[in-house]
Amino acid sequence: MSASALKASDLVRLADQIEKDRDAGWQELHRRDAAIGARCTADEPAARLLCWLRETAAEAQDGKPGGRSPLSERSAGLLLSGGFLIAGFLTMVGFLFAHGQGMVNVLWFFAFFVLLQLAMSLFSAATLVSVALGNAPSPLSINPARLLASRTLPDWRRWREFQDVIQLVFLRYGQGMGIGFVGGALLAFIVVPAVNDFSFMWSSTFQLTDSAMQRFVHVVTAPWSQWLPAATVDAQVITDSRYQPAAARPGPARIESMRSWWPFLFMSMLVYALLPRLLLGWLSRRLYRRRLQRAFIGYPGADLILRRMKQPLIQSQGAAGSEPRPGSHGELLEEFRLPDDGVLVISWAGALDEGDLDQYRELRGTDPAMLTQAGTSLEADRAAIDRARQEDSQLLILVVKAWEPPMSDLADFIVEIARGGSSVLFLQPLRDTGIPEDRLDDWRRFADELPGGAQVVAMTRLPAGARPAQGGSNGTP
Amino acid sequence: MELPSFAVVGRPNKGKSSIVATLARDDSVYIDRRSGSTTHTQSFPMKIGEETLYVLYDTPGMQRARSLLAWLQQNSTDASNRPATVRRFVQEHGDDPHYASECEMLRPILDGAGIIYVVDGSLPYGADYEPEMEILRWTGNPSLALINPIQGEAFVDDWRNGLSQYFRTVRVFDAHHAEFRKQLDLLELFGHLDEGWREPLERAVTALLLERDEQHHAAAGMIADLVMTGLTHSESQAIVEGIPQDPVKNLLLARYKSRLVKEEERCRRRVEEVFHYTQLQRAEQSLPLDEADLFNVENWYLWGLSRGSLLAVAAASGAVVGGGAGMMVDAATGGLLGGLGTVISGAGGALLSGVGAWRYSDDIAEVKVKGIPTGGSRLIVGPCPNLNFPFVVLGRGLQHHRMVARRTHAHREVLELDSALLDHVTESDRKKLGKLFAYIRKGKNLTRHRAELSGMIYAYCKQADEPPAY
Repeated sequence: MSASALKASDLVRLADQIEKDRDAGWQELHRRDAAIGARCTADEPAARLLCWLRETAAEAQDGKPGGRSPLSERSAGLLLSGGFLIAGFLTMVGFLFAHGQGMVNVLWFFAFFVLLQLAMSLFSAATLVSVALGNAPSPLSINPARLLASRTLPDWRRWREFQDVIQLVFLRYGQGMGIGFVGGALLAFIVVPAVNDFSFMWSSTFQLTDSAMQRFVHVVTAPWSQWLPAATVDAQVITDSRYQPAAARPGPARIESMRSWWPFLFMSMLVYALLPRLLLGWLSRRLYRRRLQRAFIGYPGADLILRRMKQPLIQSQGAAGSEPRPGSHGELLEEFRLPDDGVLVISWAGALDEGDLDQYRELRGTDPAMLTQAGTSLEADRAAIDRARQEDSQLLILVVKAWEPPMSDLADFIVEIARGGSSVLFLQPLRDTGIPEDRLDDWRRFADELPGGAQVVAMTRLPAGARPAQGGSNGTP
Repeated sequence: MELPSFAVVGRPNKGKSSIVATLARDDSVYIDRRSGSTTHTQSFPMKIGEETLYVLYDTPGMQRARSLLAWLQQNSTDASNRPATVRRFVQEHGDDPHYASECEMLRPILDGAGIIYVVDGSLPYGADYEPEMEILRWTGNPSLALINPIQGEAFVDDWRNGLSQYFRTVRVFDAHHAEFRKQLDLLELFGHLDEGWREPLERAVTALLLERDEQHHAAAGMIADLVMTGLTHSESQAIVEGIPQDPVKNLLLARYKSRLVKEEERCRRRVEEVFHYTQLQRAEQSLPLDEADLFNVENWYLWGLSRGSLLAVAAASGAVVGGGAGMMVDAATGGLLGGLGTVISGAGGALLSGVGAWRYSDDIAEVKVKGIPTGGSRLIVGPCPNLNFPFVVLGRGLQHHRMVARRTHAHREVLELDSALLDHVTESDRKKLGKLFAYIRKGKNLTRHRAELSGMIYAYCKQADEPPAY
């Protein structure tokens, strides 16, 4: 697919499709566009975007019945140019026949069919330059090219985005109409004098001398006087063709000489009316194509489409997130008094040793002989279980590192050592920071899920001054 | 060639899922500060199109390392059959709920996955970690250890010493705050675990770098479009003669504000999607378009430019627009005025624009009434004439982008967006932006000016990946 196939109406379709995509997921869009990009063989951005548009928007368009007018942009352009050709033809015929006695005033002719056309071309040129510089003045509401613009860009809501393109649509087809008008007039200027007698004279309400008229003709014919002297008017003819109301009707020979104005007028129309229109038509057509492509690939969101088409979708996400777990409801004891006997204090995974007992309010004064280690090896676990059996411990205190997560390893141990009996989990804080709520929550949930249940105590580390003596520590930093 | 795969393993609640979420750029990974939130191994394939370059596995934490190691030691005769012994363990205990977590964790490793062992550097090292490290060593798979300093680096050195006894490579990686470049460095490091994995991992890094650039581009385009909308949007309604205008005006004003707020919300959602965020919660004020915000001028200056900067910008942009008219006068006179037209009209434009900046500093939207040829009139609300408004929109857009781009997918905190903005934009850039806004307001060469604006925003967006500035 080539970018030359781009039509102004594609802008509207692009805008519509981008609007439709606004609520779709980015990944989904990327997946779709990367796939289209892989299928599209075009290299130019405009062609690739057009390729994308055809794939995404065409189906939606095809699905809708009718909607569009049978009159295409091209047909409407031809129709308008044809209309203006007829208008130009009729205007010329009317102009020629409006003059009595078959005498046509050269100055009026020149003013209407050359100067006015040239002025309109200059106006168009100024607009073209303005558009090329980035300014897009609003076209006149009476401009018949609106018919074409409505064919090309039926959605006027996007005027602001497409303003320079719309302006160029006006300019492009405006030149077509101008060419039609001048072409029709030229045609009439050939046909009508061939079937009817016309001659030319000049007169002016201003005090225009023959020499001034001669200078005027000299300036006007400058472009072709060298290579087409037949289309110039000599001084004698200028003098002879001056209209003098009081004079008698000129003789046939003079009338014949007065007809030599015809090539001058014809060339004037050709050079000053038709040629600028043709040039402007060519320029506006070129500029239109470039601006159309620029507006197409510069439309907000088009750049993102092109990038999605180029860049393959990179995915690194998993299929779905895991489900959140229910909250805990284990019991947390605010106060706990350690009984004097029947207690076995088990330090899990090196949480504390004998010297650490007095550092915690809940264990202060505990006989170090009541402390045993577990969780460091399976042998140590076995030894702790044997001791609990031998001493027939009524209460098991498990001191655990509160900053570590509760593990199944510990659960297995508690199940075996407690045998459904009572146990209490003493949570040892890290440093003096206390135990974070979420970690506390973990331990409460863990305690709650144990077969016999367990109570949870958050241990309080005593300030340094309140501790009787500093012992060694292998677990608490 | 065997597909590179990496199992992120370790004790529960050490940030395995955070590391996976960050590297997989997946904010749907369930991360809980409570332990054991991952109960099944989940795979995160990194795909470019249909091609998979590597797979990350988020595994449940090991729960019974000591008894598992004891089993392995009992069933292994010498070091040569250790990997086979681990495999036999999984075969024999695959359906045993007692070792469900361990089997889940070991399966991808037995399938050839590299081991990424994760610990928390903010908590003390303990000998009770050693059985699980020993088990991993028994598998014989390439491995590295990551110290994730979840709440600080207090014990990082202890961990480094302990881990280096079991792993050849030990790195600190903060899953919650790792910059994009560090994430890529880590992926490159994964590639060094096995010679055959290097090439796909390098390709993955290259693809991610390209994607990152595309993300900034896309975000810049989206923010530019939002600013354009802020500069040009208006709401209009035709009203027949005799109908009071005030209710219609209020309705249009409400519609105008609502549209702009929605557009900003849409832009933010899109930018988040581009950076693979789908569940981001934001804490922010909406665009300051309410009456209360409107009269709180300081609020506008917080979001956009200060009054002083605003006047400088207004003067610069006004001078350009005015000077443009003067240049046309100079051109028309063939330079006979010696550029006087440009100077006078430029100065006039600067003055008028400065006055406009002051005059419109509190206005939300201009209200215009235009006659309709068929009778009645058309009431138009907007665009916002306030010169600071596009800066406000831009500043908010850039701030949002920066926070999203610098965030990792392990973050679960709410995105806080209420802070000072536009500090990173230089004075000359502000003036340049002011001129662009003036052109866009006037509807001049929209396509080109949008591209210029988008280019400038892209440059700011790129700075989000540079640690010191912006």
